[in-house]
Amino acid sequence: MADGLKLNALLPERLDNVGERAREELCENKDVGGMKLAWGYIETEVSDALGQVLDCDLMELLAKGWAATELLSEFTDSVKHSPGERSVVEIGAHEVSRELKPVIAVTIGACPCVELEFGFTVSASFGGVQLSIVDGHITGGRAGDAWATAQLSCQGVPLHDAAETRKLPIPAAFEFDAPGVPISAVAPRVDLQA
Amino acid sequence: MRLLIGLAFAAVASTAVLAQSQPASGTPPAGQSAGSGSSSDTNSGAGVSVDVGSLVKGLIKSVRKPPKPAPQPPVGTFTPAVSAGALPADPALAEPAAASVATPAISPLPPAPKASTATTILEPRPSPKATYVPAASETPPRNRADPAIEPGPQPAPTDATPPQPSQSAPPVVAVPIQHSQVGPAPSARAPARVTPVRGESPSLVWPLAILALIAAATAGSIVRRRRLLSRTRAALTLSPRLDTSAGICRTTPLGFAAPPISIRARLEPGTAHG
Repeated sequence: MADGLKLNALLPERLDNVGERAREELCENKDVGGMKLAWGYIETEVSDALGQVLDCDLMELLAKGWAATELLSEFTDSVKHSPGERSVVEIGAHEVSRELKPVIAVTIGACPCVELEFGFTVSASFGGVQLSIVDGHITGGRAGDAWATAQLSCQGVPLHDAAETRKLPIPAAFEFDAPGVPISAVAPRVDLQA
Repeated sequence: MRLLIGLAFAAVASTAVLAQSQPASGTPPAGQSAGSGSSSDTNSGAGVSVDVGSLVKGLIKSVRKPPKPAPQPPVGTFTPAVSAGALPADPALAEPAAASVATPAISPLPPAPKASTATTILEPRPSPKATYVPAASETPPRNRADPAIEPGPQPAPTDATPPQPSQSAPPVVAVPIQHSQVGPAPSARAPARVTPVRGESPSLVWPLAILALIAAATAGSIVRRRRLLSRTRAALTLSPRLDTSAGICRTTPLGFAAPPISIRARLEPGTAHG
């Protein structure tokens, strides 16, 4: 797998609202709300756990989006593309957005577990991308002028300003571990935006 | 007062040690907000911010500050005589000084007039050595250059200070001079030595006590925070998860910018020649 851009690199440096939001949700439980706790520590741990769970490769996540489109589904046909054949496809300018839901289950003492569900939406813009496909898997590629950004939210409420959102360039070349990202042969699971 | 100074420094040192020994995970987070409303917020992070270092420096300065100089006596010729390292201004006094601890040479002098002059001269002198009087009075005086240090019940100089061959030269030089001057009137000098010491102590007691209290409060706050942190750490369990295959993916219409290229390579056995 390419040691490229990670999802947590798109997070803002300061995530004050994450800790506050976690505290609000945890304090809805009266047992937890009545406890004397080091909330600063809890907020830091929740923020750290969020960054830890988002330690994923951005290009692999976006490749899963490409692999789910109908455009590439024909490369799963072993009749058209014999085993061992390497195909290079060039996709034109487009934008991809992917919404993830990281969940952090928090348990304090004997109190019942509280699951904090966040929304993490990654948006990427590509001027063009070349994908290498072998045996129905995307194995790597090259990106032209491309950048990515992300927005963290909780129950639909953004947890940071748009100005704090990082806009990072996507690496020019990327490669995935063998056999790569599998291309879906079934009906597309991607919503096409107008 | 020494007890208070020791207590203050011990408290400050313990505070510093507690603050340094705090684990990294227990430090308040950078992103922690100041007040978000709950009553338990006071335990969440921010500690007491006391500039103990500057306070200690100020106290040390006040301790080291010498007492205000008293008005100089009208007779100025005494000053070189009492300084141990300096040469006496009077050549007549230099002679016994060169003889080191030759007390018999001084004993024949009539004590009464010398004592009266020594009393009038030495009494207002605010030498810093006067603060050392209580400690020096416990041990027999040896090589003392300052007549003001002379304890009250000190007998005549001929009886008190026998020659000490093992003593170093500079402090001993002035001994016969001062003994000859100071010996006969010890009771008149005693109050002059003690008074400045008593005058300094009350001004130091309160700052030191305040410092000790601040240090104790800071240490207590740190200890409470550490206990709260360790309790929270023991009770907290986090288990994050993320399903990257789930979620919604949206994209603008995709299309090939160029026809796909397929490369198929194979190695066929060639014809053998031979």
